[in-house]
Amino acid sequence: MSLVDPGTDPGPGTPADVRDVRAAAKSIERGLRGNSAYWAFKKLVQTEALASPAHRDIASVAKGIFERPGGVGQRIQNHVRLACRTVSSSRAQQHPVQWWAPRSSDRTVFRTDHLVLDPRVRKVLDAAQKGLMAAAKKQVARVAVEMDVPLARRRTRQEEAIFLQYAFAARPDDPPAPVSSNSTLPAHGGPRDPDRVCLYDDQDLLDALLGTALPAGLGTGGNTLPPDFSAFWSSIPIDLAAPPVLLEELAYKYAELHPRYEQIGMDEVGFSSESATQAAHFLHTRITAGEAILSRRCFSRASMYARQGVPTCLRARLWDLLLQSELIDDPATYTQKYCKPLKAALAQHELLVDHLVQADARQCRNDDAFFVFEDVLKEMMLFWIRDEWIDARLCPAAPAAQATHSPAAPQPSPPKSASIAGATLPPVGGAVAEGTGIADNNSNGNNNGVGNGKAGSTTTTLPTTAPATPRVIVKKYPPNGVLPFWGVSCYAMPVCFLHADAESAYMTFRELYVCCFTHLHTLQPSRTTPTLPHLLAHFESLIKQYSAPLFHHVARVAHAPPARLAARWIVFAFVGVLDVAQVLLLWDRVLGYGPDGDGLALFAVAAAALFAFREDVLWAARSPRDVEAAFADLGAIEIVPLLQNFIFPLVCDDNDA
Amino acid sequence: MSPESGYRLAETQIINHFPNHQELTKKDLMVKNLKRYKKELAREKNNGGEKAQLLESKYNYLDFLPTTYTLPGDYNLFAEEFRKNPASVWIMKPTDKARGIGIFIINRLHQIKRWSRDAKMQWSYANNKDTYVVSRYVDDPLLIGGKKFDLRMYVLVTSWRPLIAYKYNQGFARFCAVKYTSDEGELDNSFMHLTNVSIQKYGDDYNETNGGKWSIKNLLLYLQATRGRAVTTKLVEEIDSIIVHSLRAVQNLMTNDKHCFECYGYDIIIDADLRPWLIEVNASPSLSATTASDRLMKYSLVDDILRIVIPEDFPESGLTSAKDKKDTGNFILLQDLQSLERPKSSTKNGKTKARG
Repeated sequence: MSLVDPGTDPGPGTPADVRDVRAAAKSIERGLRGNSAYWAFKKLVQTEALASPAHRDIASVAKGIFERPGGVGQRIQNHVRLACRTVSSSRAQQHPVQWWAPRSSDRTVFRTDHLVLDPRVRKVLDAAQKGLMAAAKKQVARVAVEMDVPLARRRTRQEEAIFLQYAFAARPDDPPAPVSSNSTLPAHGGPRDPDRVCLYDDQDLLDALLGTALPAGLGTGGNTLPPDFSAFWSSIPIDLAAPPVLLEELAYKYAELHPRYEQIGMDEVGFSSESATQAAHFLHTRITAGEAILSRRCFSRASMYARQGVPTCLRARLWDLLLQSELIDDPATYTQKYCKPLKAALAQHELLVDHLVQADARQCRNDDAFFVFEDVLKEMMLFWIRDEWIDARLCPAAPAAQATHSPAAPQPSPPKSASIAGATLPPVGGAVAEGTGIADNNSNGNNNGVGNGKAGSTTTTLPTTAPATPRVIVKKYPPNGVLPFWGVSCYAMPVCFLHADAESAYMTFRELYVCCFTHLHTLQPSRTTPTLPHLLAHFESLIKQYSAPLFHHVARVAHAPPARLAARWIVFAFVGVLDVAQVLLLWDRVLGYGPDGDGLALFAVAAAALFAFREDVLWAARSPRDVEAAFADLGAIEIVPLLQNFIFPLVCDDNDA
Repeated sequence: MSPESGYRLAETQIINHFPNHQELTKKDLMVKNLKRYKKELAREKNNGGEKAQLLESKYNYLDFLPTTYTLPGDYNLFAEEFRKNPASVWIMKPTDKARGIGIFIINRLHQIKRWSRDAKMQWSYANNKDTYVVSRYVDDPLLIGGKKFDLRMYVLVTSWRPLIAYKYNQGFARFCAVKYTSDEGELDNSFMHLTNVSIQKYGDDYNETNGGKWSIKNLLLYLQATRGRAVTTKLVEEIDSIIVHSLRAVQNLMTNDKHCFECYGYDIIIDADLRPWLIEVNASPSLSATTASDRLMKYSLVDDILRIVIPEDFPESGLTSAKDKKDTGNFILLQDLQSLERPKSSTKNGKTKARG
């Protein structure tokens, strides 16, 4: 059993596989030559070989360096594991042979059997996603007309210079942030699309999901219940979670959350002077252990570590160890090098979506924890929207097709990466629009790693802009292949608390996005990773197991389908729902349990835990407004004890007694 | 209430000010008192004073006041200092105004001359008493998200002799709405340089939901993650040090009265090296709330103050939820102050209890 779908697991061991592995290793090695880490390693071998007296035996020197704790070998291992995670989670079916499929036993196996769907259900969800994306695409066109802004526009040299100078300064002509009577982030029922610039929001997402219906006369696999009954018993019209994850199973899945283990997020704070010393001691040992893991760069130990929470001072580095899928020698230079072409592309071209993500980032003004980072967020979102790395990660087949120039022909790309190919650009008064598309800025030259071994030949990192030649290159629009939904910048907000500069924060954010957040607003099911429909079904099933009468009361008496509320929390990964420190603590666990598996499912568990926590208030609720009020102020909630209470109810009761 | 007013408070009356709090809260007096205190402390240390050494070990951050002169009195000293560092930037503040009124920034000596000429002509209330302090401007402040901020900390003093003071652990950072640059051309942009909410709220970018206020909790979370734990802890200790020393500097000047207590608002700026600088101390920190979380914080501030200052035997003390007098809410007793007064720790406990 592995991360990937058991059906596609090659089951290595046969000679043919070994040959495959050798060939693949060769091609990977070739691919690595474009990576600076590769050359840094070679150079290290060279200097050490020259320095050591027995310098003739280069192979053993190299081996020593390679196998050193935290050395190159460990890094490559982490890199392969992470690169494989993104590939396998997005399109396992497209890669029948995955030699790099992890067979390690140190990772808890994520149960994927509940992700297996009836093909007809899958089709319905695919269609829902397609419909949503088609609507979003129409919105792009509408916004373009209404705002009178072309999809993409080459800035003039002068404009470019001005842009570079004032890029992220808050300009006085910025419209004020959308303010409503209850100004909060979208996850908390904040203003929805006040300027009518959003393409789709969480409400649309949920409506699309709840609006799905199986063709008449078609029961979902094995479900013999009459349709009326299942509609009554769940707000999600199609049955997904079969077999459901049992409430009792959670205690095994999330064993490390058990109160018997000390947790960052509760045990590092002391309330009396005695417990304060104890807490300080715990924090100290925890930090020492974390430093050791960081110096060894051990991925599996880091993920075990994260399950009990990461101390604030180590979080940025530990998350990067758990997330950075590129083989990076020196993160600082890599970040700089990586963001340079992005910045150049940003200065050269103004995209319509720039306005959308900037308006989106402005929402942080409505939150008293994140408003400080408005400019940082804008910069991050502008990077994100034009980073082709995202596209390459989300649909790894695309770069290969891109290299051979893909026309607008229908290719089986997931509908989320809707390419608005060949869109005609409305002319802008006075401005020169050179070319109709986006000039070829080859910013994905860096990702010639495992993810797209076939396209490993593109090694240039410099943008090859040719404004003189009217070369029209049909690329995806927006360049990252993701039509932004309203509130997408919420995912980036907590990351601002980890890094002092936008570039480093972006590097963490893009990894988080592709391995985790993208699934939170995707309807299309994946074989390996739960997406929104699964998470909501998981949530509903947990609540029903916890207290079926409560579920019935909230859904039928108070007329507030629990899934509607939970969707908002889950879609935004609890940003704007919980206090930022708590969000980070929750994300620690999500990363620890695998942000594309059990960790992701933890969002559903957390939502269920919140419901259970407010049980008393919910029982008194008589209207949707009462239910809203029950969750109006979750700012003081501490998520770790809350999860423990839900996952290990008996233990927590014993402690109280 | 001035000490000479002749009013006497009844047993059941307490008041939220000390009669001569100006020693701490008027900018020029505070500067004078701190300068004197530092000299005393140095002398005592040279004489091998036990108290000074004890202070040194726990609160060893003493140079927390930017170089400051009183104008017009110290003009010559200031001019001399200015000529030594012609590139320096200075900030002028009236000694007795609050909320950012009358503050401006200078980087040329002739700006002062022009100002003193203009001031006499324009301001009707400008008389001989109207003095200014000029302080070295902290022109490399710590920026978060590209913006400048300062800290507002609350300190409650219930007794000067012995000194009993509490630090409130829920202060906040006040942010400027405009990105900070140290450009000369922007020196007169008060939206960039002055963090006072009473100024910022007239800026175009002011948002009612956040009010430019960030909780200390978030600040520490951010600093721990981006700068590390050790320096963040050091910063917090240095802020404590600022509070302790500034209070001790005026301890013997204050009229101690058991009917009095006072909550001070400390304004502190942190520079890019995470060094805190004391800007000023306010006797009547604003208790009006600009945002929802601000309101919550200030409610609990007032609540906690009342809980601490109202004696147990006070009539109608049942109104406050002071069941357990040890419960100081979000206030943290600044340790070692009493032990410094009376070296024996046994008396310390007795004293704390007696006072509440």
